[in-house]
Amino acid sequence: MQVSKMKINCENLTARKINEAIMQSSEKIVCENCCGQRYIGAASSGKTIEIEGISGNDCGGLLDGSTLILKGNAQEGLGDTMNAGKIIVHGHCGDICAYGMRGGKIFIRDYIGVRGGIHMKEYGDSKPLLMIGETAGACLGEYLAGGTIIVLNRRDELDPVENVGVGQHGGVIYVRIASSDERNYEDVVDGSEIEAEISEFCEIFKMDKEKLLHSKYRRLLPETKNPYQGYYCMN
Amino acid sequence: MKREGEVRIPAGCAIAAIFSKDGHLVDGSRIITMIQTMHERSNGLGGGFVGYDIYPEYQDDYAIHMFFDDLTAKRTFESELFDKFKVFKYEEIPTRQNPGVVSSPLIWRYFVLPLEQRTMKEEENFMVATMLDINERIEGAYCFSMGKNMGVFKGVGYPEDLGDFYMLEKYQATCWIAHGRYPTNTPGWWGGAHPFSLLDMALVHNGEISSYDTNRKMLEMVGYKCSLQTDTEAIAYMIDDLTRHHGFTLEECAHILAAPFWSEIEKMEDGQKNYYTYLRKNFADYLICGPFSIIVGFKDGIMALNDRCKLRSLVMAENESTLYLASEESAIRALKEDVDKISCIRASEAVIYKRGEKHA
Repeated sequence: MQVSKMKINCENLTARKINEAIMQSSEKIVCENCCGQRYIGAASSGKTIEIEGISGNDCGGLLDGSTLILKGNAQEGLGDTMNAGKIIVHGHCGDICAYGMRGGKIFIRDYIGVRGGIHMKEYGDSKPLLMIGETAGACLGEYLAGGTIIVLNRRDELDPVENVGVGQHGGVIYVRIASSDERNYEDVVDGSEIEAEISEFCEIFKMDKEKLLHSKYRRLLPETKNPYQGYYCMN
Repeated sequence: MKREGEVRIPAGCAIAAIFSKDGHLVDGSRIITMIQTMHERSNGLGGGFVGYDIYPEYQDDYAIHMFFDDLTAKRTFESELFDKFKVFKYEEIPTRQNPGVVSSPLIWRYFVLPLEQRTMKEEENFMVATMLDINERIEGAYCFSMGKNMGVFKGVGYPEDLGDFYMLEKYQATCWIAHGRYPTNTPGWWGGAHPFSLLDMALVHNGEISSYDTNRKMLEMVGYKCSLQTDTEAIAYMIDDLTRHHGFTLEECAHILAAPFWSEIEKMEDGQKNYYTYLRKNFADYLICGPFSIIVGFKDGIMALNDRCKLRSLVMAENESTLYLASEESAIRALKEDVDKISCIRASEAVIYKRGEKHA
């Protein structure tokens, strides 16, 4: 039996009412006329939620297995401390997305603001993935402790990231190098290493993956097993 | 009317603006819709608006907006005002009852020109000095707006309630800027709400300044008194000082207030490097540290600016006739207007519009 999509008209509904309606709905849900209500889908599991309009801050915070599909842009705090599930954004995303993310996947079609993926972490099979189609603002992956961040730099910007991976002590960051960029980077790989991720991203957003697969990527790994040795005290 | 205590107020607020690029008029209900959408960013302890070109029938006069604690304060103020100014009209600012707005002071406006003729620059200095002196000296009287053909409307309450209280839907403006306040350390008071305004410049601010004391000491050296104990006041005075006394453009102002890091200046080409080095070295005390996003209104123009690390959210959108700014995209979407572009404003990127031309 095909499960029909349950529609929630979010106009004039508070964030609490929307989330209550989501909890009581079938697996597939469409939130229509959303306009800035916060915490949509927060901590939910087992649902597929399409969000039309603009979702508010902390959308999908603590997400625990649901799939969120944002038809517009995302505001600040997307997927804060997300545990499992998937968030897809058909647009750009504001600041501090994927903060402390512990599992699941976030796919952003366009760019993200500053401080994305700060202190993402992994444990056992829980490995978070943050994937960005264009560029990322400053401090991407600061204190990264685990998981994967990929910046596809689809518009071929010379500097698609800044201050990336400061204090990284786990996980891995890939940043696609613009075709016009002739600088030398330490650790460069091609797209085959992240083929599965690129394929999933391109399938979601209906993009051609060939160019991305055959591009060069900077790969950022933590410098040592103990990156803060000697930083705060000398022993 | 209780003034702010001895501590500064850090704030997590909402800011929004509608700027008509072609000069068409927008009624105040639109900006209320924007700021209301971001209700959760305020806590009911302050809100305010500024509208430009709202007093066309008195466009050449200074529109003085006043709060009074009582009739004594009002009488003292008026006796001084009538001595120094020609008063073309004065009236109580029309308000309607709103359950969310309580214990309001007496709120009056005066359309005036100084009796004594002065050059434009001297007249502006006279206006600022007179009004700041009144705020300092006359107990229970507070001037919160003094520009020509513009006016600030603010108070304690949620911004949408204050917009209703002041009946802003009856005003037509070419530019609206709004603020919803979330002070966390002290009770708000009517004068401490945003916008802060001097002459035709009005400022709203989301954030807090960690360089407040450095900025304040410098401002006191050049003659401003930071009497309100709020950081936003300091930004307003710095912009006033830089534009009016030093003759800087708003773009140059932005380059001083949110100057690039030395590490960025290092990488610049010579011309640019000299320019930024000059500004940083000579105007070091005007640098604002800490998180902020501000919107500054002035005659026929507007500026939006973020701090150097982009620690507060600020979104812009535009179409052919209008520029929209807001802390959250939802505030712009709530207007249900067609907009061509919608984007996040970057760290220390000044978005400046003057009617008829764009500088970015």
